[in-house]
Amino acid sequence: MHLIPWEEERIQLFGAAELARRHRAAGLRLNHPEAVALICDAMLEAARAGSTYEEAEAAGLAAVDPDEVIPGVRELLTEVRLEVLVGDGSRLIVLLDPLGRGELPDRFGPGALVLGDLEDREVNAGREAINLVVTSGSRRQIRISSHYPFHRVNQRLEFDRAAADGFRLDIPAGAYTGWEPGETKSVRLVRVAGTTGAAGRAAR
Amino acid sequence: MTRLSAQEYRERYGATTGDRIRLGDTDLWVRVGEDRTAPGDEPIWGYAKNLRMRMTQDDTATGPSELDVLIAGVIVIDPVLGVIKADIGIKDGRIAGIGRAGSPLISDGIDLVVGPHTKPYMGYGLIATPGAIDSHVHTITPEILAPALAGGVTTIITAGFEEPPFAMERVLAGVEDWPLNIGLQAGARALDEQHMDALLAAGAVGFKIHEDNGAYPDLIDHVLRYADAHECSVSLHTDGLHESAELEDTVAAIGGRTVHAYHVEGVGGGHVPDLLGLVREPSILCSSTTPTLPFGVSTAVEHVPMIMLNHGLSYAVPDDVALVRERVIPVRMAAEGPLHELGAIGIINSDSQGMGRIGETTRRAMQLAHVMKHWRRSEASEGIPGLPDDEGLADPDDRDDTSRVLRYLAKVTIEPAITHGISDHVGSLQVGRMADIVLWKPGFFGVKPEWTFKGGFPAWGSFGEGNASLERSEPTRYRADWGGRPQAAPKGSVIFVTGVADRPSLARRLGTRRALVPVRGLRGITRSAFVRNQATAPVEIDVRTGAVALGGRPLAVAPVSEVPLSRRYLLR
Repeated sequence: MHLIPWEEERIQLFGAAELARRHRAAGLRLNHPEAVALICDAMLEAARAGSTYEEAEAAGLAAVDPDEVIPGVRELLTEVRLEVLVGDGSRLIVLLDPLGRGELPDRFGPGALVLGDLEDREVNAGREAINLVVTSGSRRQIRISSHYPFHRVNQRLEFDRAAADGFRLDIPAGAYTGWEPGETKSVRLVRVAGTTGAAGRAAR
Repeated sequence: MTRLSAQEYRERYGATTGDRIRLGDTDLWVRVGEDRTAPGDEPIWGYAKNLRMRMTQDDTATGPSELDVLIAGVIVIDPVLGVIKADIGIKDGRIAGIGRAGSPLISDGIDLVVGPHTKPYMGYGLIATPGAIDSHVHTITPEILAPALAGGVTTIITAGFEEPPFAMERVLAGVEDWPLNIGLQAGARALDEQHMDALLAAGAVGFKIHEDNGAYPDLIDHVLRYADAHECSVSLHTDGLHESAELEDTVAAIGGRTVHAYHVEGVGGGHVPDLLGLVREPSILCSSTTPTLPFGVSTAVEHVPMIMLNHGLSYAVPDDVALVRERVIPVRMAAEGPLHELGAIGIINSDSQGMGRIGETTRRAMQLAHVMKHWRRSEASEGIPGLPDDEGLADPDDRDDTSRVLRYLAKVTIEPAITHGISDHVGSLQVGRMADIVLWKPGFFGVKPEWTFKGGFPAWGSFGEGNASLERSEPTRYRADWGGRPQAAPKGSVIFVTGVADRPSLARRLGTRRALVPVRGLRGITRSAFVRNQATAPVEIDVRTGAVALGGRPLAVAPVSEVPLSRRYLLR
């Protein structure tokens, strides 16, 4: 057989799925690993039978009914990653919330997060801020992330660069702002904190 | 200033101060007490993110000031520090800080400097705990090591039977390439000091006194005297036969000196039926083992065959069977959980393969915490004196078990670390400790870790197919990460020894690449040295039945028929 590790791993999934099928047939509700195994097995079998990527994905989403799992398993099963072998070779399928069916999860399910307050969060509060009008002279999209030193951005963005020295976009960490070709928009910048910010404030 | 909705803030950066997190499928909730991260300047790695040159990375920080490893935005649940949203900084394999990471060039209050040589891991949405310490491990077979790591254990203290020296050397050699700290407690089996000297020279971290090798009062006295002079641990499994000593005689032999008493649930061995009376004595640091935790409807029945086969007994010999049945006392098992809730039994350990399951140390601690929460809300706990604070009782939704969770977490982390003189190195995520960190998804807390760091580097986790385009494609299974592979594992793991061992010569003899780390501060302590389990309980025990009472009230929890962190998660 010359089984490579990838093939042996298929057999491990098959074994788990077969056990899960037996449990389901006996009328037992499925637990987390059983549900994952059945979802994976359904996608692998669909691919083996010649289905397309999309059909294999759909087979995974249909493999387990939310009523067939122990309550709470849906909340645990947030994602399934699997490599199937479809006609054009190995392909990755990622299913998000595969038992969700568009329903909201149990707010108090396993691992639930209950917020201590529901108020908006202010970020960059209290920092010196300026507004600048920025026009893109590019033929392409430009996106600038939260902490990029704004005076150093792509030269095709036209604005008062000297004024932007020591500033960055006033958006949440890890967010970005985009410009379409030729677009002009006003952005709000905040002065960075730390020693750079302190030096900048002192220089003014 | 920019505004984010409460929900979006958590989706980007995880929980923050005042939020509650449900641990797995238990009824236990922790409340985040503090958020040390940099609001607005949270370091995040990835496409269009900010953990880069000129951003939250300090490009000038190459060198001693920068972190080796950053775990960003995690919820730390630590028995000493509490529940804190923070960044974890790691330097030279140890915790550099639980605080605010980033670049001091652009952010205020940075105490953990991210530089171009910092390896970042994103912990947003995850929980971090110190690696568990299993302080009652029998190295019966090497099969115990993989499940230990898959259960979040990163330090094992053995429980005797590793001796004599040549056998200890083989066990240490066999553990060398596994990402676990180890300390061998060797069996003290004679009064001869040369016997004990040889065990310490061979790397023993302390001694185990076990009734199957003799737990006589003069041996207890002798070993404790030796331990006080040589600063090493003593763990004691008392005389269940009453061949040499009854409870009062054992207590008298201990004489107010520090000792780690094993099996303060009774069924694993020791005085019948009143071993639990040890909880009255402040110098006796009590532990109990996982098979009876939490007390379940099948606990008693499984223990007869377990004890028979574990202790060299025969079903063909009626006397043997009778001895075992005397030890299995359900009314005594019922008192064990309440004594944990009180904090009078301070440690949970596995007794692996000497009647315990090494992968379940943390899991069962959390299952017990869940069961005892319900006990506190039942009539059975009414009138029991000395029960600790329980924030949930004052919470309208009963969703705050923070102090209980920390108390039970302490039983598998900091309390055994203190007991064995290794709390400068393991047992919490305080600054300076080894970065032995278990990361959990909240829904899987206590049962299946997401990733385990050993000595500051990923060493164990649930990994998928190697051929796959992404990590963690199904089937995901627990196995070694790079830090857990041969040659790498000993760089992040140590052997605990005593200060009297000649470490250079021992290291040469063992051929180990691990650091040999001496224990300290473990003699002369009492339960008040513990962090969250300091109680001494003046229990009354009926010596005919083994029933335990406190303040005139029976101390007992009803056996449970269903536990959390179990069939929802485990393929079986």
